[in-house]
Amino acid sequence: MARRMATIEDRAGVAGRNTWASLKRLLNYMQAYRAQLIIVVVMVIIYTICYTLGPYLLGVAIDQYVLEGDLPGLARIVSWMVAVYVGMWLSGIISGRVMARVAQRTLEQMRKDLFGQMQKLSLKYYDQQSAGDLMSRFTNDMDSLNMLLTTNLVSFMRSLGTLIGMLIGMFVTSLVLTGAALIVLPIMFGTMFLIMRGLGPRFRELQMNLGALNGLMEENITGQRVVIAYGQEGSSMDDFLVANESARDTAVSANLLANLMGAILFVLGNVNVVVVVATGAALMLLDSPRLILSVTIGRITTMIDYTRRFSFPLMEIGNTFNTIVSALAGAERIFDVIDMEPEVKDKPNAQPLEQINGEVVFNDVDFSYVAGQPILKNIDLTAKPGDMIALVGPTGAGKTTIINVLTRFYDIEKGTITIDGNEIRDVQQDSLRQQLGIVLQDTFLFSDTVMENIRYGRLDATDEEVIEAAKLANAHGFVTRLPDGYKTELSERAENISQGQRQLLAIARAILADPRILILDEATSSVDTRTEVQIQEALLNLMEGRTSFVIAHRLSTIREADQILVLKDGEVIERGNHEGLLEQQGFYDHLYKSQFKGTAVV
Amino acid sequence: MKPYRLDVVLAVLALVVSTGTQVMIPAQIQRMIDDGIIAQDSDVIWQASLFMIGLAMVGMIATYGNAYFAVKVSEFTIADMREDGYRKIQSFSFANLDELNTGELLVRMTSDLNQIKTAIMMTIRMLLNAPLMLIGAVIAVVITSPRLSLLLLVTIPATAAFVYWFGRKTQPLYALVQGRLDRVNTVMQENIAGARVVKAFVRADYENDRFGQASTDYANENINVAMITAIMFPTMMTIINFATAAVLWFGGSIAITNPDLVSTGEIVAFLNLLMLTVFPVLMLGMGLPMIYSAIASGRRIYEVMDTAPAIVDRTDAFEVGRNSVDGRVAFDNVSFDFDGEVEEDAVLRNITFRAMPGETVAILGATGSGKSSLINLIARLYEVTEGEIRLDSKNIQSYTQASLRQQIGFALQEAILFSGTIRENIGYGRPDATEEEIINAAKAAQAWDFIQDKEGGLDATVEQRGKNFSGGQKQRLAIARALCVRPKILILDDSTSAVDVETETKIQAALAELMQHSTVFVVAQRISTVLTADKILVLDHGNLVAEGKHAELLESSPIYKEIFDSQLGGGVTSSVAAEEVSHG
Repeated sequence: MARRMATIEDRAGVAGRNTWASLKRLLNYMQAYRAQLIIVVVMVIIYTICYTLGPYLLGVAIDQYVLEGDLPGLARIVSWMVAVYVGMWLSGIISGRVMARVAQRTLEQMRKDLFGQMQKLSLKYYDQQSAGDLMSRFTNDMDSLNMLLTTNLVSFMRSLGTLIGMLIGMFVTSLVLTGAALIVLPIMFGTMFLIMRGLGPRFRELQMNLGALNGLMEENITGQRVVIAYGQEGSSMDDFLVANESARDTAVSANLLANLMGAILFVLGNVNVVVVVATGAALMLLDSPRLILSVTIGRITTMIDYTRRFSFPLMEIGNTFNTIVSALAGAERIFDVIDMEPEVKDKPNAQPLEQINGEVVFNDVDFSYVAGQPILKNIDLTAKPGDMIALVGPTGAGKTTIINVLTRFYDIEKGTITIDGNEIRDVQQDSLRQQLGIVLQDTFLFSDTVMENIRYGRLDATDEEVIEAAKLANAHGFVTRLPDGYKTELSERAENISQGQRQLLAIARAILADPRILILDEATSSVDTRTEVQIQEALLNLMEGRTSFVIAHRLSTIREADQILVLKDGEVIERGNHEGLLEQQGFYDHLYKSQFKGTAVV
Repeated sequence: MKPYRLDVVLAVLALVVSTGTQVMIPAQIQRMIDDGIIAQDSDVIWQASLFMIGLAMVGMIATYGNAYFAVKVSEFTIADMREDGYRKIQSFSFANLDELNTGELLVRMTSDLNQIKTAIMMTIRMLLNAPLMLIGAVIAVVITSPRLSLLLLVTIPATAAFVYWFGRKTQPLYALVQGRLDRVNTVMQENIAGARVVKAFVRADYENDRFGQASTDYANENINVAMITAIMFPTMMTIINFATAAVLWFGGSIAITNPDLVSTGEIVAFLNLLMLTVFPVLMLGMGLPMIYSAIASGRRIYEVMDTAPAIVDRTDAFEVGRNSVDGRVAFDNVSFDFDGEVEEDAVLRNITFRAMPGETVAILGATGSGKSSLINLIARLYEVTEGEIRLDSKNIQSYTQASLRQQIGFALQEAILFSGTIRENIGYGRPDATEEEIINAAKAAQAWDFIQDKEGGLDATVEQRGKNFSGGQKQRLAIARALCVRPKILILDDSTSAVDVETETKIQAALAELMQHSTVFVVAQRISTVLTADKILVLDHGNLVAEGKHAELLESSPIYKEIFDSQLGGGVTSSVAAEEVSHG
């Protein structure tokens, strides 16, 4: 047993730290279904008893009734057998059904918890984790847990119970024959143990190769448009073939070894039968008067029956043991995420942010995504309610980062950010973001109708309000031209509408949200300038009385700003309004002129 | 599975042998009991024992042989299917991708394929065995006791009827389960990709509900299936068990009343053979649900396989070597719509223009006016609905797609990078590019400076979808990738929207140098980007409303003038710029 424990630890060692703790957590999840689980256990016990009683009654029937010629007795025992079989049938169905319900509800809860946790985790987590890995926790790991809970757990219990039950049955039938049957048993266990030890690393390698293959497929299928545009279907295929073949070959090797177990158990099972029959025969020939050595044909038949059935649950246990260990490793990966502390957290005493006026103050703010590589340095800024603040500067200067810390997607390292005098780290994140309307650089739409995508800004908005917002964002025109208008289903990454149209929908979404502070991060970069002017009118109306932060490469967009902050390498190098900055003849002036450089070249 | 026909045959042969041994073993047991123990003949016992062990050894080898071929066939078949599926996806054009959702496609390529693999494995290992064993057992039973075997007339039809009912009932349910899984995965994927939006709008609760619904639906569907599959196994067992009881009752009563007709050994042997049928029946009980779920999965995969690629090479299409075209592009009365019908609201209508090598053609127009569609047509990413596009006076459909696209460098609207190194990403379109060519491309795209700042330079890691780069950096890498092809036709689809104006100007200057013998198409929103173009095409609701140089268009096209004014905000600045243009 100690050695067996050791292998479990070995396996767990690679998959993760604590398989047993995962098992405990898993059981905790199922605690809500304690009553159902008790029913399952009771049913499995009934099933096992019936399963063992079957052959026993059979032996008795032959010995005591058929051979003795007792017809009414036979009738009686056959009715008993029928009763036992019906019991087995019912208990089998009930345990299967109840367990399936418990398993699915447990998995459902785990999926929801995992998803809920992902909603809590900060963006930093998403930066670090590959999408493929996260997805595989939802699919592969959940799948193996599903297998464990729906089929393997019950069959493991059944097999274990059956083994115990059969052992008892065997002992009752004949002590000596049982002894004979058990001679081969250690060899069986030994073989199983050896093979299972070899299986661990092979299956782990298989999981790894499968993971790599799935990752490759995910990435390439998502980027398929680039593959096509570059005519790289061939090389994409080559990469795939390599991954596909190595996954296939490890699968073959792992499964061949796993099947060796079945073959060996098959022969050992039969050897076992021979041993039992031979011993039985020897005892019959011996015809000893001592009770312990006495056998009957019926008993031998029963013993043969037991022995023949013996290898089945044994194989079952061998098979399930593997899946149990790997499923628990999967559970651990899931719990790892669930246990993760979000980077950005509400303080325990965080208050909701009351309705704000929109005064934003950055005081000496420092920030870095990766320690030691500062992105923002000593940022100071004050926006009075209703101000429009423009952020200008080259790519990588830190413009988007300012937005990221203002929205508390990330927490700053030094300094303070206050809104109406409230330090943003002291208020609840949700209440903060609810008062911010954000249109991001990367417009993301969900696979739902156009209507619902806009409504995302304010879930209780009526259809009329949604359409009104779309009109303000200049999206109404193209939406009505879509095949199903506002009811048009957008595909996953909204590839059925253009980039510029996506931005218009995102703007409509922000307009609908009706926030106190409006943030536009390159919100109109893919919209043509004519449309942009129209949107800007709408936005200017919207900005009236609201504080707004605008990032744009097109300087025409920001000329109206009350305050322009020019950023370079994470520092504010110039600030002022458009005319003032031009007069300074500094970086802004240079940027502004470069906009028209093309004209000079001609 | 066809290429593995021989393996399947061998697997079946091995199975026949293994089944044969399993059927023969009970006869030996009977011999031991009847002729050995009851007749008190130890020689028979020895012989039978040795014979049985011999049989078991042969059985083991055969069983393993069967497993060997079964594993090989299932793993290879599934790898082949996956390959076919993937190859199919490679043959898709943009129009196909518009219709399929990535999450669904992935579920089909992973989860559905796995279901099929398990089923093939089960079939060869066990299910083929099941009928064989059953037939073997039936033959043996009939020989052992013709009288008792009448019972099988009830058992076998009962089993068959049950199996049929089960299949009818569950198969549609399995398809539903996979469909629900699609939904779970889609919501999941969206939330990973759109995490920022969800947070920005504080929609965690909403998303939790949305996911919760998908998750509950999936669980419910799973439970529906499980409610039925839970009946399968116990019921099949029960049919056998009832048969056992029946044999005991009828056989036993005959043996008691008329011992000449049925012997005890016969009953025991018969019961043993009946036990033999338990194993295949158990396998059927466990295997059938898998088979049914695999059939449902197979349908889903064939849906993908049967999707006709929207664009295929003509049978007489020819290859054209890299850089062996001039790059003359002509549109003749080209109309296009996604649904393949040219109506009032078609995406593009009757577009005609010419573009010559060395020219830069800028395409301008309102959002949704058809700019992206127009340039997608050049690379034949979509098929024209009407009219003709020619490259060097030949219809682009007369080239193979692969060789046509080799002539074209394409920087898409959304800069998608692949995980790997910067070098691999820039050299993506031309894996044989030299270091120098890669560096030149990077320099022209103004990416070289930030690449040098990265640890590892060209060998710095690019993460999935390039998420470790800023929007502007990604776009510049995508441009470098397009330049590295040294294309005869370069297409930049709004590919500098996240790049600041100064850098963009530098890129343009570098392009003018590098692409002086190529035809360049630029879609851009910024007027500064298009000012220097040799030809500007102005699109409005899918119509080409104006064509010419900046100065001409300013005079002749009110729409162009409006765009120009809107960009430069009118007033003093715009007239200054206009002046510069006219004087330049």
